Parts: sequence; C-alpha cells; structure tokens
Amino acid sequence: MSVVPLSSVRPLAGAISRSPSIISDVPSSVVPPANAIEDAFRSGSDHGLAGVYEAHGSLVHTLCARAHPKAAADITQEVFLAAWKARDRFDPSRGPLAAWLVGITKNKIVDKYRKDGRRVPEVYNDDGSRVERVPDDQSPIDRLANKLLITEALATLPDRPRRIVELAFYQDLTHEQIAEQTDVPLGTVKSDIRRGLARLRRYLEAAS
Amino acid sequence: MNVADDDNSNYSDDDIMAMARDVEAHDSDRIAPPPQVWNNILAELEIEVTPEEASARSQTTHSKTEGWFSSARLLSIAAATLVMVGVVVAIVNVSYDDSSLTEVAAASMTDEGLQVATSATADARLVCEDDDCFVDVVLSALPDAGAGDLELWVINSDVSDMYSLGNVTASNGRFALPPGVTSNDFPIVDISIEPDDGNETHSGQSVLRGVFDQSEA
Repeated sequence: MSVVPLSSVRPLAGAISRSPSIISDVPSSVVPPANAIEDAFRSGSDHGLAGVYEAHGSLVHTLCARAHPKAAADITQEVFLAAWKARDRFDPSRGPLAAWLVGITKNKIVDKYRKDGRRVPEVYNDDGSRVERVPDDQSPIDRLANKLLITEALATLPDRPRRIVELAFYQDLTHEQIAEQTDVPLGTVKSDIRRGLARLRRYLEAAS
Repeated sequence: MNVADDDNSNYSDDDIMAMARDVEAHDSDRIAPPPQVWNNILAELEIEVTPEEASARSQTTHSKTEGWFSSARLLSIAAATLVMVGVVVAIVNVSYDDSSLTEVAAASMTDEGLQVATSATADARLVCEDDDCFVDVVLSALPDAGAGDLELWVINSDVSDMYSLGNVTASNGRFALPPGVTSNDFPIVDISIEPDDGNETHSGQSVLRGVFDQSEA
C-alpha cells in the first residue's frame, strides 16, 4: 500500500483546534468533498482512509475524549481500524460516513469501559460534573454523540440555511421572526428549516 | 414548529428540536487526535511512513511558536514566572474518576503582570496515568472574555513554544496534554482571551497564568 501524507489532504490542526462557535459563520468551503472521500474509502484506497481520517478524525476523537478521556487515543485508533476493516458495510444511502463512524465510536467506547470492568460511563460536563439527568431514554454517550452530530450536520449546510436553522433551533425564534431578522422570505425560511431538520435526521439516524 | 414529521423516522421533528436545544456552544469544538494515532493506524495496517512524512506530520501537529512574544513580553513573563514559582495549590474538586491518576505538578494562576486584569484566580493540576496526562483547571470565576473565548495553553520556559489545550468554557475542566508534553518542558500554564478571528496563534491577551511546581507525591 502506498504512503499517504496527511498533509496532502488537509493540514492537521494543532493539539486541539479552535473551532468557531455554533452561531459564527463557518465557510461551507471548509466542508470536504464527502462523496469523493467516501468513494475512495469504500474502494479500499489508502488515500480514502487518509481522507476519512482527516475529515472525521477530530469528530471521532472529540467524542472519545469527552466520553473516555484516558483512553481517547486508543479508542480513536480502534475506531478507524474497525471502520477500515468494515468499509464494505458502509452504505452511503443510509447516511453520512461521519454518522457511521460515530456509531462505531459509541460502541468502542462502551466496549472499552466493559473491558476495563467498569460501569458504562457517565459522561462528564465540561465543568467536570457528571451528567445529572439524561433526557428520555438516551444514554449519556448517545446524548453526547447526538450533540456532536448536530453540530457536524449543521456545519455541512450552506451559510444561509445554517444561520436560519440555528436561529430556529438555538434561539427558538418563530419562522416569522427569522424572516424579519434575516430579511429572507418566509417560504424560504420554512424550506430551509425543513431541509435542515432532514439533514439532522439523516445524521442522527445513521449513528443510532 | 409547524414542520411535519417524517413518517418513517425514528426521530420526530420535536425530538430533533429538543436534541438541538441541548447543544451548547462548545459542542462545535473539535479535539484533534494526537499524531501517534495516525502513525499507529499506519503501523497496524502495515502501511509504511517515511521519516520525512513523519517529520512533516510532527511539525504540522506541533505547537504554535513566536508570533506575539516580543522581548518585553518575554521579560515580563520571566518576571511573573519567578514570582509564581513555588506556589502549589491542590484545591481541586473535579469529579472525574481520579483513582488511577497521579498528580505530577500543580500551579496557582493569577493575573499578576498580565495584559488583562481579572479578579478571578485559578488552580491547575497536572495529573497523569502512565503517559496520558491532563491539566485539571478550577477557576474561582470565569474571566470576562468579551466577544472572544478563553483558551488554555502550556508554554515553555523561554516562551518560544506553546500548545493550545482547548477553550475554557466552564469554571472546572480537564484538558488532555499532547503526548510528550511535560510540565518540565512546558512549565507555564496560561489562559488567554482569543478573539474569534480565525487566527489560531496566541492573542497575547493573557488573563491568568501560573507556573507548574512539581508535586511531592
């Protein structure tokens, strides 16, 4: 197998990269050409593996680091090795590769805790406190994974729909308020939100 | 929200909206895997990596250097460093599972001699298990970052090299140290205010800083 320099795909970030806040503008141009990467990955190309690692390594590692800080590097490695071995089973018609990887990651995290003889974890808040309650029937890892997937899905939206969806989801504005605030026609606001929900659903379901 | 649910979905629109409302700003932050992860993957799959590539990768994943440190700043940091050496505090209330972690070093962080004043203080602990190390930070309060973010760094003693460990979004947090980074080589722990300007170098607007002192234990 030939060597694939990661730097040829995209420069690696620092130890921990600074990312824009949810509401800030993320140029849609930063989103990698997912189909090309996925095709190369499925074909068994080592360029595909490198591309997938570059595109989604930080997402996988973030989930690992927040759910199992001590074993994050090991689990991230296991996820990509498992994904590579199971690449034939990835079906792009069932959802994005990022979500498929998150599904594998969730399983690996749980496996790691079980192998260590520990109770399947509570996920820590950033302030170090344990998650106190879990809405509905979501496990803490599912909940964390879903939050990361939502931000991942939103980052793939073009600027205007993403902004509109964020206003609807995070600021709880009505369609009319969003139309007024953004000067976008009401019908466009509604269709952007509908497409945004569909995008999020696709990510969430592919990882569940 | 008057959006019809997808009949074939496990998630209703209301479910998705509820999950989206659960999202916090820092959920869009991403933590890059340490470089050895990719190297281990290549090794496991028996893909060769040339030294040139390994070196190039190491450099791209290495820390930020220079940029904002003038000689004056360097001197002020050196002075602040001397003042702060020896202050060891271990007020930590982090509810992580610490059973297998050993405290290696600790530091008390203040705004003394820094560019931005704050009434807040912080305590940092460096804890390790084997080669995996973390910085636990407990702040008395979050300094006002205005429209920017608070970012945690470790910096070497001659201020020629530094690592960002991530954004400080709460008064209590744990941050992974990149592999190979030690408090001997990077004894200064620093929190800066970083504008959301896409520039990943240190802004020079430090608000809290301390120096790791090796723990007895």
